[in-house]
Amino acid sequence: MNNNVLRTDHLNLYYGTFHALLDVDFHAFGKSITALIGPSGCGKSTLLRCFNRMNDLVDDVKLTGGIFVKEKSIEEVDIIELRKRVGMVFQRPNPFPFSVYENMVYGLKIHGISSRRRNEEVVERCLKAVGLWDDLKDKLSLSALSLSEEMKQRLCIARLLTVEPEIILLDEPCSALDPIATLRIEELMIELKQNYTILIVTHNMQQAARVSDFTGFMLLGELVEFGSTSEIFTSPKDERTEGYITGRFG
Amino acid sequence: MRINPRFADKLVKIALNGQAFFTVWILVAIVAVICVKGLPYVNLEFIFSSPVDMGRHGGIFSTIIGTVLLVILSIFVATPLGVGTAIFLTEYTKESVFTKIIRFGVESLAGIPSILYGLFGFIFFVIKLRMGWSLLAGVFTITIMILPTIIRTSEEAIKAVPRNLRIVSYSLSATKWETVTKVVLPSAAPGILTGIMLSIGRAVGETAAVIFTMGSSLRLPTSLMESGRTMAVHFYILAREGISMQKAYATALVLVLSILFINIIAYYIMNRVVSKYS
Repeated sequence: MNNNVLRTDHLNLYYGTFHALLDVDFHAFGKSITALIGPSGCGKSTLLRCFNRMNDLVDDVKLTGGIFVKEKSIEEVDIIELRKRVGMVFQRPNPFPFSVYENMVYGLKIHGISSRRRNEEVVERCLKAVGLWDDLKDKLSLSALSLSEEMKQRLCIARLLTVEPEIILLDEPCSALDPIATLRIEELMIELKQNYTILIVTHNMQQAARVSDFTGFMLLGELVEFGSTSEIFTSPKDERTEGYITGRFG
Repeated sequence: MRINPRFADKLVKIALNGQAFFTVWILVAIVAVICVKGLPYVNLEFIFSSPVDMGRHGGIFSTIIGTVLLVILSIFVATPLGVGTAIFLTEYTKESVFTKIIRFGVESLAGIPSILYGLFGFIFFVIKLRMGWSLLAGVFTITIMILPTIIRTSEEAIKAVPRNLRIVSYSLSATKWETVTKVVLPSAAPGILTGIMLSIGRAVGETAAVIFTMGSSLRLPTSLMESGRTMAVHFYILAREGISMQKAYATALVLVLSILFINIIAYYIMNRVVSKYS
């Protein structure tokens, strides 16, 4: 049990001369939800993006230290394979400007495993997993851009599930949604953790408290404190953590 | 003296209306003149029979075929080249002195008068490469001429595709090429198509660059190495040499109608593409 699915070892990251992550030792366990909280610019999204190497797309990034997925250094994993295993959901819902169906089969097409029958089966299974199937089963040819923001974000999660990741990174997935939609996405996350390892970055402390099993608090590029969510929220050890969760700053 | 602002407002409105009306009026006048002068001589026989006696009699069939062949072949050569260049400039390089030079070259190319393209095509393709006056030399010359338009419009269209779509595609473990072909190009298709349509318009109406390279033979071109004549060239020669003003206007009418026809088809295709992707 409790094996480290995600881990960093003395991780330092620089954007040019800006030191964005300071010597971060982080780990996340399988089949659970780990939340990263902290004020804007504290490096929590940067840390999240290390695990599927999205930081590679930014110019002038330097890394030292180790990043491990299932105890294997990500340097040793092919980047395409890594991103297949470590999927990501972004802050703003970002479906492709295609139909719902085209969005759903995109991942299947690029992995060359698409046959009509299999596609339809996967689309149905993944849309069911995010609770969209009943709403959309007759509207698969509808443009994905015409959906509500919540449905778009669900669609993006479903689209991610089609490539069968093991780990899902969520980068403030509810910040563009209203409170009710937020609650429903949170319910979805709790369902998904049965099968996936989830790492979520959130601005919303209540959200971290509601959904996560473990919480890490970050400040100015440093992982200040990490522990079970109940511990962090009820008896934080570091006074900076306490200051943040009681609303003294942030 | 200060003009009453409300009065000025009215005045401006009238002036702007007048300007817009003037533009439309010119267009209508041109089409009307061509219709009135050309319509009596345009019929099926005119379209489907070949010119006789330098075009004094008969129809314009061979020039229609010449136009269609030249335009279609040029577009087929220029589109992959132009879109490829645009993809390279936007997706595969960073802004540098090198891309600035390419861009400057493209822009300069767009500003060159078409007769210079004709001269270049004549010296390089017709003489140096020994193609002679031929469809092929015409196609290559027109290709160079329309390339800048296709590159610029494609580049703008590709740049307009939101960056986050690319990032999502990468996060779903797509490669760069998969992202370009499956996300970027489909999203940029309407813009790219606009550039192609503009290019077709230019190619259909071109005379100077065509006379120098494709020649002006009235025979139906049956191979790439044969000379041929386009409608625009035919019109120019008929009018310039005073062979037959009636046939000239009739040719002009067919030319204008075919450009109109191409635009309508383009709008149709564009709407189809746009509605599919939005």
